[in-house]
Amino acid sequence: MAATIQYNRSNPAVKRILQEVKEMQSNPSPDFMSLPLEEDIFEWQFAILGPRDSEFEGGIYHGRIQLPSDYPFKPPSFMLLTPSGRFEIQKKICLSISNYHPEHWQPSWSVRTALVALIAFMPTNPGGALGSLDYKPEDRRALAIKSREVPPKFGSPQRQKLIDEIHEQMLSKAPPIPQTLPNVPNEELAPDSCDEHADKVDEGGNTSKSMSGSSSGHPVPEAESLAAENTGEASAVEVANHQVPEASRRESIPRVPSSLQNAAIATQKPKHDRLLTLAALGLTLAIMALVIKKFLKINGLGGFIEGKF
Amino acid sequence: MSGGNAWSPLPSHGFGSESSGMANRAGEPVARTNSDGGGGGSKDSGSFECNICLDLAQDPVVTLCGHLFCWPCLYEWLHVHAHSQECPVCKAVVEEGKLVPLYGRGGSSAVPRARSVAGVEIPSRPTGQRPSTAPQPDHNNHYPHQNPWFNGAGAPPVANGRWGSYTFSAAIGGLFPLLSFQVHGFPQATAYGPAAGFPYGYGHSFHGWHGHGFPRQAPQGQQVDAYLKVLLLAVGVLVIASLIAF
Repeated sequence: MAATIQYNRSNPAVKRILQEVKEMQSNPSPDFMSLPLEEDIFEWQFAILGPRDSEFEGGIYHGRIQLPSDYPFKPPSFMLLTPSGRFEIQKKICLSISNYHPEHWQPSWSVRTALVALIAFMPTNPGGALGSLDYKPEDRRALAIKSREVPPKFGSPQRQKLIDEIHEQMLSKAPPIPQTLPNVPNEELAPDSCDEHADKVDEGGNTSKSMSGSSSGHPVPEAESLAAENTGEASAVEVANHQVPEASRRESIPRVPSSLQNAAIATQKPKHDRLLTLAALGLTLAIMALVIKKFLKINGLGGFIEGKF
Repeated sequence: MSGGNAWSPLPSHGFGSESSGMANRAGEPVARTNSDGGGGGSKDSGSFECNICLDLAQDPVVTLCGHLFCWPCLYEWLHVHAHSQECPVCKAVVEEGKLVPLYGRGGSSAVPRARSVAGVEIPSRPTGQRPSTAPQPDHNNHYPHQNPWFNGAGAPPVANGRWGSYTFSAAIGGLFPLLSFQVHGFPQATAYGPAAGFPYGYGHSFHGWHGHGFPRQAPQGQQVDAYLKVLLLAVGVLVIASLIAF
């Protein structure tokens, strides 16, 4: 009974988002689920499962994603709706994959890679980042158990309907909650430090753009390794391994101007011409050697030379 | 309430048919809604999809690190949005002079995607850097008398002998007025294609040239043979004349 919506397919951002929706529906993941709103394809609802072997295991955490109009050239923004003890609810969280750090964003990343990274960031130490919380493991466990009972209430009735449907899907895929708390040493992992962005954040419209800060955020590992992993456990281990080494971005080398490129190509021809000039010079030397040889032969005949002079 | 919207019935869109996905990518999509498109084709044709727009690459270019992009997508990223010249996938340094375009069977003159949304004027993509033609395998067998002459004259390496002989003839023609007819013979070599003897420069007439390389090289070989014979004869005559004069 719902009418078919015609999207503006000439927009590259819309085409990209439609490709992502198609790919997510054809390859669903057991660890998260994400769907856009019907009336606005730039507004998404998602739900992630808590990572395994952590105090969040078994929890179902809902959230909202806002994609910018320049997507995928600009990063999206993320907002959690379910209390987790790790991220504040209804407040944009600060990660290297969100719009707080557009300098770390890669256009090859997608909503799928962002959700995998979000699952992997849950057991990490918040380190005072904007939008992060640092509850005790027991409190996080209680919140994880509570998150399965009812989905959060947010937004319009159509959005709430989407949230309820996502919650039912995630409940069917979620494993039972483990009884004991795991021992996860997460003090050694340090996420982004986003304190200096507290006064610069724009909480306004859909396409809110944050200032490009100079703080050294923790880069998300390559999207190819993220996109290839569908299981949360392998992804969490993969991402955690990437986080341990201190990955610093290499300095940007300025682009070679086209005049230098043309000069580089032009130097090839004088090189060959030089070789040919040497060849011609060798031939000339050979002829001169023949001439000198002939001259010496004539010099042997003293009378002929003296008569000539 | 009854009836679901286009997004919610996820189980019915679990795995779409690959043929439907391929059909959507090949031409203009017939189905306007997303629910009709099958995403199963992404596993087969994903190797040639742009890493930015996730669609079949238009005007494809490949970076040195091996990642494939549409040229408009990569240009917009490098010149409008990126903070540095880095690969959108692996953050490697990207130099526009080292991008390699991919030429398929279709004509790339049409511009199906007008970049008026971003308001950026996108130039043509970088041209490919065509290396020199491979040397003929039977180069030495055709000219057994050439080796001592070239070695004595300090000739360039044999790998460059084919195209180098043209410039060599021109150089000799400039040094000795008696050999000026060699320069007149040089334009005949270009009849086989633009910049046939030069290592750089791309010509569309050479598309698929290597497939027919051997039959076309035979006339050029005979031409080179004629050049070398005349040149050798002229030099020999000059040396004999020098001997007689003294």
